[in-house]
Amino acid sequence: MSANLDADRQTRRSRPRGRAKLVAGAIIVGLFVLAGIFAPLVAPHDPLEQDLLNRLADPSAAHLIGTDALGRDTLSRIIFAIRVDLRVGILCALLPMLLGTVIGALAGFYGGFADTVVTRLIDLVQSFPVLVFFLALLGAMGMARPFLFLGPGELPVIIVFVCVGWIVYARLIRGEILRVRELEYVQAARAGGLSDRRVLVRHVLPNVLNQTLVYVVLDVGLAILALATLSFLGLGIPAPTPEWGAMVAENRARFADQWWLVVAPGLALSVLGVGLALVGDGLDDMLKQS
Amino acid sequence: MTASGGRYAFVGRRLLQTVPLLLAVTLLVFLITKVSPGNPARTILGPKATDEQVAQLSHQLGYDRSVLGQYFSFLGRLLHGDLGTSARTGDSVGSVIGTHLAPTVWLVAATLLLTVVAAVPLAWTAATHRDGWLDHLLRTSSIVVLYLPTFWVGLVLIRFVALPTGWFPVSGFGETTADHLRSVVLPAVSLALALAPVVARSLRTSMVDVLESDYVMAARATGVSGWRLFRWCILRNSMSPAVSLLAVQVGFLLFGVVVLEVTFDIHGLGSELVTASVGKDLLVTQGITLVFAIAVVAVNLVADLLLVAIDPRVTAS
Repeated sequence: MSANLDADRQTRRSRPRGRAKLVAGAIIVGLFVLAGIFAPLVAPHDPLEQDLLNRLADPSAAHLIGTDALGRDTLSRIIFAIRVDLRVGILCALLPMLLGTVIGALAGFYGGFADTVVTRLIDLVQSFPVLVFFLALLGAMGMARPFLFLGPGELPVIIVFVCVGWIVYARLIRGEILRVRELEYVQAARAGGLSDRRVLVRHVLPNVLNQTLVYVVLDVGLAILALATLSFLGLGIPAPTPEWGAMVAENRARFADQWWLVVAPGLALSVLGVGLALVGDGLDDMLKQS
Repeated sequence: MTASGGRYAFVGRRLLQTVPLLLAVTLLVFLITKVSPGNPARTILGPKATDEQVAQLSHQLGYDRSVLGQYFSFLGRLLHGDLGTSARTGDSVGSVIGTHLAPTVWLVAATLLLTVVAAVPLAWTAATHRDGWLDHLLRTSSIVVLYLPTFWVGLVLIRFVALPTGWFPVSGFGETTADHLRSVVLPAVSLALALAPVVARSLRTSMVDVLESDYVMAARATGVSGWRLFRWCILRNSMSPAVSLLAVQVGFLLFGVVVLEVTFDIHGLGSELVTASVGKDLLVTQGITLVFAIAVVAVNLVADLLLVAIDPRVTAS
């Protein structure tokens, strides 16, 4: 009885907390998304336009975060960078999710060889410095030209992320299939002629949907962070495309005097990252309680 | 008797598992040279070389053989410790690794030390004051800090701590041990900032379990308290998950070290890897990646063996 009351009190206390995180995170992420979509309207200048007479200008009404060594408006570059970072971040989370769900379902239902391969791959990736490997691969592959709606340098990053990112989702689906298969009513339904696809749609996917959603949100943030870090190292998005990590690297030499040129893009990256983390964490809290 | 027998069997099994893992790791690392577009011999010789020269060098380096054949000859050379030579400097990759190893090891050690020193008291305070402000802060921050760019945190520390105070060098690794120590403080802080809350959170969860367990109650009832209780009952029993977590995070840790070496201009394996990767020095890239990959495999192995030493019960599962 007292344990019940205790549990009850905890839920009541932590539920608003999950929601508060979710709302705070959603507001941050929402603002970034809007600024990215309406970048040409929101940004005061063209992000690529050079004003060589106005290089390294201090922050002013015309240039709120000043201008860089080529006289480009920093604020406009930060706003346009949202497009690159969010586009790559979302694709680097969604594509592995789709691929991982399909592979996990195959491994879970057909077992045997497919299952062994997937479990071994999961083991391998867990004992491999994946991000260090990305760095080496991206250097070897070289910068790619624009591809469809992707800008320069985006395709290789997405490819390496898809190659590794699917594994988390495959493991999730596979584990759930193995669990559900043992349930009596599912066995009965299968004996009665329920196809694998129906089992997947009716009994497996609904159970993993919540966790998948949380993973995707958190992965978008981690992918953006990885992209910015790789660009900082000179292996992600090439110049002159505005990208936060690349901007930090471009302006590093000016850090002692024009510190805002480095602080501002990093701050944008951090705030969006924290926003996504809050959404993911808040979502996780709320879904676990319901 | 049976318990220790199980222990040896576990260790043996775990060692055996490492062999296929290492093979797979070498295969992945080998792929780095294969995804590079264009003829590698042409890249080495430059645009002025004749087709004949390119074909000859290709043959000499074995690039005209099947991919599988190339992989096996790569493995063969690896067993003899031959990682090839740098396309930029002509130095052997082995010597490149040797001369750049020390700063990286320093950085990893400093980060681990800082992480543990920060995580244990944080976890203990959060576990003993459950639902307090620190507990909640730890929970949220363990997720949020992972989303802060370490390179940016490092640069901010350089600009707003190292520059104004002059306590720490702005870049480089220095000559003396004292220099080395001062150079690794800020990069280690930048990285421990991301790692410590994550480790602390895991440690806090297991500490709460231990604190509520029957044996701690029993120990308390017999009068064991304070430091002795903490040292013998709580820390030892709650360490296992944190050790596993650190092992899982070691890939993240190494990537962080790579990034911070570039940020702080420390010439270790990480910054050398980035230079090689950007400059398409494929064999150096391959060699250093292999070092990092083997380190991760080794750390995971050591962590598993350590778990058996800390807690003999793990062999059961």
